[in-house]
Amino acid sequence: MRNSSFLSFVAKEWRHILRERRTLAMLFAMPLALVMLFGYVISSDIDHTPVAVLDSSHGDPLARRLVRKLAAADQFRIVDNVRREADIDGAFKKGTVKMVIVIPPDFGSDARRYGGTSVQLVTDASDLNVATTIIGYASGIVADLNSELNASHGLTGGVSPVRTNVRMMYNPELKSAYMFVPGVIALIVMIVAAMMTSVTLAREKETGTLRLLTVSPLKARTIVLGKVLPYFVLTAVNTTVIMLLGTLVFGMPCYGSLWGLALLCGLFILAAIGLGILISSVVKTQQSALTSSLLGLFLPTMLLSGFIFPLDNMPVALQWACQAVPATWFIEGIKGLMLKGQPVSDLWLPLAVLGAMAAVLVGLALWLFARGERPRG
Amino acid sequence: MEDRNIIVQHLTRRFGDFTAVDDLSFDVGRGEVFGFLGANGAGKTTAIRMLCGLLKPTSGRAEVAGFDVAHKPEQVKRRIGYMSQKFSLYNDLTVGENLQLFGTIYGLKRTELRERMAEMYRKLEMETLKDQLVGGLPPGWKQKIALSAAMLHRPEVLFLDEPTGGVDPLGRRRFWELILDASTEGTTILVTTHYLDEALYCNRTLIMADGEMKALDKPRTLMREYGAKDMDDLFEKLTRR
Repeated sequence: MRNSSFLSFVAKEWRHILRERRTLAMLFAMPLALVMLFGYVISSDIDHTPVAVLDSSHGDPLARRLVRKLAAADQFRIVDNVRREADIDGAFKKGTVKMVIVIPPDFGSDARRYGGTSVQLVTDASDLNVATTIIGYASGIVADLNSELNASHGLTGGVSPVRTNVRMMYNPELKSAYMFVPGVIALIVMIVAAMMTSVTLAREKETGTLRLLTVSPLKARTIVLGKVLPYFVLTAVNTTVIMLLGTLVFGMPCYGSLWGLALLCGLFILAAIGLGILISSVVKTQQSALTSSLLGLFLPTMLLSGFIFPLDNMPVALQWACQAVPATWFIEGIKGLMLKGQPVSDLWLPLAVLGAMAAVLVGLALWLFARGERPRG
Repeated sequence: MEDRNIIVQHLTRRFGDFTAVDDLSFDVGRGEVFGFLGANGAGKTTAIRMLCGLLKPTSGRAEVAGFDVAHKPEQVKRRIGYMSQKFSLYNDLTVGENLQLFGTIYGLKRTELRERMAEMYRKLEMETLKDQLVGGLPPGWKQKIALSAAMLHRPEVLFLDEPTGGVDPLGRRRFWELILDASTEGTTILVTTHYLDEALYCNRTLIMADGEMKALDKPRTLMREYGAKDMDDLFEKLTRR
């Protein structure tokens, strides 16, 4: 190969790259987004998590000292909405508190005796990442208190006047299989409903068979619906299988309404299908449909939905981005229904958001598709 | 019954500043084979898309099979057939499955469909191929089957958008025999091609360049008129200006 022909070959390749704006943007934006994401998630700790103190010692000086230490920590924000043991469940379900610190009666006097006393750290373990992190912080504060107490008594460690006693609610055995099930469903729905839909429509475009369909008396929406319906069914079956696996094999509980669950899944699948059609209406080939689905749907579903990284750990801007990811609402809904046994009426927000997302995405996708292929000369 | 099956009056389509089809006017009679000649980008495809009801004209109007393409595209679509080398059949379906699919899309009833498929297999002598996947067939056969699929519902007007690309000369000759057969049965045929020799099969040809109509008449009349020795020469004389 001669030099000039080699150079022109390279130049041609550059033109391909530079003219494919979307890919180019993605090539730059993706690593940037990933680096920022990982950077933030890994470096940022949980801040100002709402915790409540249930003080049965009624103003014991040592208990007040512990509360002051907790309040002074950046990680915690003391809220005052748990007055009785019976309030704990409601506060967790409303999500207004992430941990309740239960201080026993005679806290101060027991702590001075041989054998000491213990505080109970009650957490909402349906969000296991957050639960374990905040327990770590709280235990650290208690250990700090212990060393202060020991120092004031001239002791050099080894004895713990105050021990901690952890209680994980909603997921007492800390089964992480539970935690993965909603996330795995979200991912599978994205693969089957969104990616396959986008690829199959892109394939019709690529092979030209879409033209045979558009020139036929079939209406655009008939074509789209006819193509996505099988994927809807496929996804619904898939979802059911994963849930059955979760409950039968991993012992995941399902306390809530099955109808609510079906509604939630249906809306999420619709939203995913809308995304798939949307992708297929802007891409021309199967390959780009695949790439767009992967980068545009999978990564957010994995990273910005609370599936892998807890939402509470993220900076505010990223938390806003998470709100735009359908899987976030889906996972919240599933945890509420299956693990916490919340009534459907409590989950009106995730359901409404998913419903609105599904309606807007499918509507927009159909409109874009019906508008047809972009004009060519 | 109206003896003109396609009526085009001042048909124009612009995309932004670009005029893809510029003031096109012609009629095509029932059973006529009408050739549409032009280089790539001459506006043939845009014109066909408008005539098929896929694209709204910017101005002017067109009537196909008795219906206005801009206002009654659904009526138009039901009465036309469309076939192209580029937009072919589903490779992962068998011959029979493809025919069935397109027959059904065009609203053929089951018994009707079965009869017409049987008739088609007999006519093309492809009884043995009906359970084979389209993807494995040679291009010549794919073409014939695609044409069959487009004609299964007996359209009044058949649009053939570069139907013979990639087929050897003998295959093209056979294919044209099928087209001419259909026209003698009364089907109006509008065909685009860049094989200029194929234009000689047409009753009349329209030559397009830069979105405009350059000439329209019987191919031999055009050649005589412009003193061209063959269609290539004619085409060059007409489009080079």
